[in-house]
Amino acid sequence: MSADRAQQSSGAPKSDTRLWIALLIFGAVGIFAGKLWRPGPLAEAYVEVVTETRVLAEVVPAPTSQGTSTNAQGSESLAPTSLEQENAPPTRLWVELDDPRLKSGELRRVEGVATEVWDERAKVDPKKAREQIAALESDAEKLSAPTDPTGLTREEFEAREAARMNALKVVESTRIVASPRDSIGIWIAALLTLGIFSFLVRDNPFYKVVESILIGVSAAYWMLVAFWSTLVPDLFAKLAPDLVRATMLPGLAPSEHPGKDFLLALIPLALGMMLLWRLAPRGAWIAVWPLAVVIGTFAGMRLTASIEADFMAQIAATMKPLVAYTSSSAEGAAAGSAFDLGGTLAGILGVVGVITVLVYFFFSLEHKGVVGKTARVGVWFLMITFGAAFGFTVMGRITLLVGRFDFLFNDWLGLSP
Amino acid sequence: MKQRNEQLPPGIRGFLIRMGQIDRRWIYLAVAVAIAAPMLTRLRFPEVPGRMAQATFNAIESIPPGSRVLIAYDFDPASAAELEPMANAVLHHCASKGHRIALMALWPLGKQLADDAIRDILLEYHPEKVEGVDYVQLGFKTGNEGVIKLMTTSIAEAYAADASGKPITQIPLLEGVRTIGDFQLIASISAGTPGAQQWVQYGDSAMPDAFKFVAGTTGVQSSQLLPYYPKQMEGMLIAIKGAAEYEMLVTEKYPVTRSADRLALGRERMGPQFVAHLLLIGLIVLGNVSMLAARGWKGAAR
Repeated sequence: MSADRAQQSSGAPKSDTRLWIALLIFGAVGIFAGKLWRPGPLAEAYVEVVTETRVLAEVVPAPTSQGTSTNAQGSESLAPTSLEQENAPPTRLWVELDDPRLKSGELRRVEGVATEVWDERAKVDPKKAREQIAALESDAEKLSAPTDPTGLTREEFEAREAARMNALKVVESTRIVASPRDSIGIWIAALLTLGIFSFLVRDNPFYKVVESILIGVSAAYWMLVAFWSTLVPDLFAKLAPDLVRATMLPGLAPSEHPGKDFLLALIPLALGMMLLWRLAPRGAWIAVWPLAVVIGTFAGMRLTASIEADFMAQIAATMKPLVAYTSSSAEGAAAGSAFDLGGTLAGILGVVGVITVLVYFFFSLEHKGVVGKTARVGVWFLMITFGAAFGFTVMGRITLLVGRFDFLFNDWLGLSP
Repeated sequence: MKQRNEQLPPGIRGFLIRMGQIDRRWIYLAVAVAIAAPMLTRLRFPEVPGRMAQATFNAIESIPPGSRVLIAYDFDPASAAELEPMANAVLHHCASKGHRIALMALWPLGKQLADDAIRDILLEYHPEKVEGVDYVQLGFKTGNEGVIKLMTTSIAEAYAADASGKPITQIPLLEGVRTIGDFQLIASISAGTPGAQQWVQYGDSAMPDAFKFVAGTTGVQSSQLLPYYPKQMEGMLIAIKGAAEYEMLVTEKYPVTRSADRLALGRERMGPQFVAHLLLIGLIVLGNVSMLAARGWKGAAR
């Protein structure tokens, strides 16, 4: 044993060295050749920046409280329709600066609240971005030259000049810029990908760090998803809608039945607190009750769904004709439709497969004689199924690897044509 | 290792036995080369559409233009390499046919992927489409299969507003839509649970004749879903192969004039698949031959 270990310890580093050298040479040659082939910066990223503005507005009460009012466009007004609603504080919402309802008087700006301005950044494909930047520069150069008035009437000249200024405004307001922030993101993603791949050579600290980052980020992400997609809208927003609107979800729509929502939300709140009771030193049994509710609900839901979709419908789907015709209807067969060899074989194979596999899983009879032989055929069907499933899995995993390589080659190294 | 090699028989049998003992990391490197080389050389093969891809195509073609279609993005970036090509093709197909499209997600990051698809596919190839009229992004809703179950009785209970916060009662596309039975076709691009299986169990089973259902799935999940085809699923796209076949059918009928590479991802990824599969088949054969050679050698030595 000790001799084996000594051989392994003396052999492994040499093997590792060869592998590392092969990997480095392969990588370096690949990158060098790629950059010769398609020159360009690494991790190139562009964004289109669009400036957004929002102002806080409130609904202007309608002059009369008789029924729903209708605005100039014919759409239903947001104005209140009853005495109770008139006494309630006006509904406030964030709208665009050029919202038509501000001009029509349906909404009015809330005084003393500053306009919110921010930049929206949308990723643009680097190749497309380069083309667009070149086109914008060319357009800007063309449009910056004033219109030649030769041979034009005054009206024509003014119309062309106005069109030129408008086009120039559009060109100047379109901002497609390189995004160092996104480039850094691509570098981080590429290094993390290589860190995971490094495990294929051997376990190493780089891999451990990347693995820990993955686990930490995933845990934090799922916690946030649960908080923002479940706890806030489905619990807090029903228990304290005004507080949630003021602090978390400004766009939260008012409920039609706030009292009913509040009372119903108390049930999951109580069950959730009971579930957390597990962590208390005493009374862990309290947590069993909400668990029973969860299990009971899921069992009920899944039972009915499975009986319908996975049991009854599957049995019906197995009942295939053993002799198939090109027309599936009996009338078609009677009218002389052609015999379908493929369909017939598929039908027979399906029925034989179902019966033999069921016999294999039937353990009340000893697998001897006819039963044993039938079960053996069932094993073959199972093996073919597992083989097909393995083939699909291989195909899926290779595609995922292709996806990562696609990222490394195109997004990171910029080798796309 | 060195000592063992010295004891190996000379000639081809020794070589075969040695191949069976090769360091597995050389195999990883060979797989990397087998995938990288066709990608860099853009190796592609023609696709022949299979029965399931054709059935999916026919299902979307068979409903009249203007029909309401619900596309569920039930996957996340971990499976995007496999599922994004088919999701793109389904979206382009529905938009080209003139269907009105609602997008939703049962996976949190599915919403972001659907947003990307709206920007990169829907508005890139169909800039005339209007939000709220031709398409609507409902976004992610937590609750897994519970959301589907709820949507069989009331969509408004599951989605009071679209992803931008607009109440669904004010969205023209969803006018008169009460349940998922008011859609003519539902497509789930599914990476697992919740996904296509839950759509069959909770959606299709509850309303068997109300809408057509098609699914795009990962290779891993496909063996679970195959029993549902064709009775409970009109069409099914299996992994990147299904995506490549379907892409070909869609782009043949509805070609695009710009950014065509976005609707060729599936076919692009089939080149590396082909070479990697050849390598794997070769390695499986080599491994078995090596095992037989080693068995024969050990038998002779005894």
